[in-house]
Amino acid sequence: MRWSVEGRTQAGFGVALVLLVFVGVVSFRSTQGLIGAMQWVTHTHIVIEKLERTLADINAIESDGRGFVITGDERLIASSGAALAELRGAQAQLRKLTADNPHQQRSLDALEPLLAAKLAFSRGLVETRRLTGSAAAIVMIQSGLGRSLMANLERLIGNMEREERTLLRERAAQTAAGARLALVLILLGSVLAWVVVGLGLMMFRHDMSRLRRAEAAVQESQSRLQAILDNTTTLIYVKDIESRYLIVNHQVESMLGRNGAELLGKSPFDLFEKTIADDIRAHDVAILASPGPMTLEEVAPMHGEPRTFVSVKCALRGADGIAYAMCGVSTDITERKRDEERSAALNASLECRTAELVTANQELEAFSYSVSHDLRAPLRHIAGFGEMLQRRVGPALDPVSGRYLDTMRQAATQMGVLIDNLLMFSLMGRSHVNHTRVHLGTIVAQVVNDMENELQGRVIEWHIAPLPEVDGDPAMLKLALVNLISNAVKYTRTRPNARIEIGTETRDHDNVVFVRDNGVGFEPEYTHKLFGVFQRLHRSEEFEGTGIGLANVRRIVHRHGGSTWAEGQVDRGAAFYFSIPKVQEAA
Amino acid sequence: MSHFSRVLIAEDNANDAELTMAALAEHHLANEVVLVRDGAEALNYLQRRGSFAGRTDSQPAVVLLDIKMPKVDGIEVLRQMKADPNLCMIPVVMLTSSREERDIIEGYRLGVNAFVVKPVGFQEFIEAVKTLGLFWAVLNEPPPGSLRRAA
Repeated sequence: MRWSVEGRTQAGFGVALVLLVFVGVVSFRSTQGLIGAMQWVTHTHIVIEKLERTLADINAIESDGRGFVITGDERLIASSGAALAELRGAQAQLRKLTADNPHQQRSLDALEPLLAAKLAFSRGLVETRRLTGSAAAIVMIQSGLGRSLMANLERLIGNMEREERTLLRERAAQTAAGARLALVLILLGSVLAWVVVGLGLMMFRHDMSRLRRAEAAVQESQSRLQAILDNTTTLIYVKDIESRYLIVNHQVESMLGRNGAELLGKSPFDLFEKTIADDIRAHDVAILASPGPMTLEEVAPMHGEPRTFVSVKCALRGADGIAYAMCGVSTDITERKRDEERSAALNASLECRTAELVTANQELEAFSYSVSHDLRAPLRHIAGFGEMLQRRVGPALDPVSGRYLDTMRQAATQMGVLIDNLLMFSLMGRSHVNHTRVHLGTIVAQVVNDMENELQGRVIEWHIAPLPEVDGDPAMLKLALVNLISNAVKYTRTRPNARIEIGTETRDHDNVVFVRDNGVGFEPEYTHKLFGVFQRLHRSEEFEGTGIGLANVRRIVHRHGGSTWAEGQVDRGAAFYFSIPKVQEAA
Repeated sequence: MSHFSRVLIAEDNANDAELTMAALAEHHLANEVVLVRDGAEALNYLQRRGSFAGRTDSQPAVVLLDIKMPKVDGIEVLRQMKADPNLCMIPVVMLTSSREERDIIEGYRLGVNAFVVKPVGFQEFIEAVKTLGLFWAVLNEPPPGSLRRAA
């Protein structure tokens, strides 16, 4: 878990505080102990002093007594009363001072009778001197009772004094130990507190530098963002809820022809004429009320020219959901709109044109339908009734009449073929191209095979190379090959050694197929006419034909996305080429 | 010809009708031919209505229909025949002047049995009619209800 800067700082200061409180408590306690110890020392000194005072007083009383015994001078014992009073006071004080020490109390208990006995002895000595003279008193002194009492007293007081001194030493030792411990604890606590404070400071500095780095990163990303904003082609801006600009990018500045500082705080009413500003403000109000972003079209002048913008705007909301600003991205779509209008106009005219073409096509279709039905019927009738007429009267007719009848029938049949070819040509232009894989080799083999009847009596040297597979409509491609091959057969009719070559050339994008013959050929200057409808380069008497075959070839190849061309010389043969794209293309 | 059952021909064009009859006659197939002149008449004949209300003989073994006819065209006759449970089994051959794709597609979609483009050449026409007559009126086994007679 990562702690926040505040958390760590608080924890560090908390630890330091606890340590300081601990150090304070320890030093307070040890100072208290020291003060207590000092009081005890004073106390002990007082006890010792009182004990010594007691001893001194007794000594004083005794020496006064002895002096009086020797001299009989009353003045010598005049001060004994004061010493006695002092002695009694000291005794009472000692009792009080050692109230907590039972041992000393017991010693005091033992001291009191001794003291009483000693005082009684001294008093007896003084009385004896006064009443019976110094000899009797000296005898009393010499008895040694006084001395032995004195020795006992001195010993007892000495014991008590030693006891007090021992206690003093013990207490002093205890106090010193406590003071040392306190000193160590204070030292340790202080060091620890400093360490913690130091650590806290280090962490604080670390956090501060991190904060500074983060701040720098934020600054950098902000400037990067601004760079991105400034380098887009769209207008980007943030406005407050009164529509006054807060942030604008370069595009906004250049559109309005003012710099950012001039724009900030300005509302549309300061920048545009009222009708435009009203529109913009109405949009902004709607956006502030809208829960999501809105896409709008707006018009605003730029360098005096009205431009159309598509704007995506949204409200910026605080955590409480209340909008505090709005942002927008506006793209200038004026050119696009113009293009759209242009292309719409173009489309409309194109549609119009398409409709016209569709109508024309329909009319053409109706026409060819009508032609195929209505024109073929009379031809059939001419041919049919002509045939029946010939059957009925043929044998009776003179040769010229017979030839007339034949010519009529042949002409009718020829026209039927012409109409059929024309219809086929029209069909090749209209019908759908069914794309599939087509083996041209197979088709060529079929076509040559189907011509068996036509080829009877002909000597033709065929050279058929392996042909490619192409994408195309098999029926249409077959028709194209039928036309090309039958042309080759037809125009080599005059050759005793006819030679027809069918081959292929491969190009990058096309398959090229050619049909070459050694027939009558054609004049190269008329090459461009070869593939036109009803265009013939030979008279019908020489070579029959309708002039539609090659036109059909061209139409079929064009519908496959290919092209046709031809090469030829008079009497030196001809070659017809067509190409089919390798990739299937829309027909 | 050992057997030949009746053939209904619907043809509006008198010339075509005459040529067809001549072609059938050429092959001695014209005995049992009924000729009607438009689609409406063909339907009346088949459904025994109008001028054919009293007809009691059997249905034809095959119907040859021209496509382009006044009133009701061949495609419509075909449509109504195939929709009629009593007529839907009678074979229908379309005879037409053209190889217009849409007619052919529509004919096959409606269930035509054969589609013949009338050749311009009379000889071919005779051959075609002969083949048709032979196949549908002589060789083909007609549906029940179409009587076959000794020729």
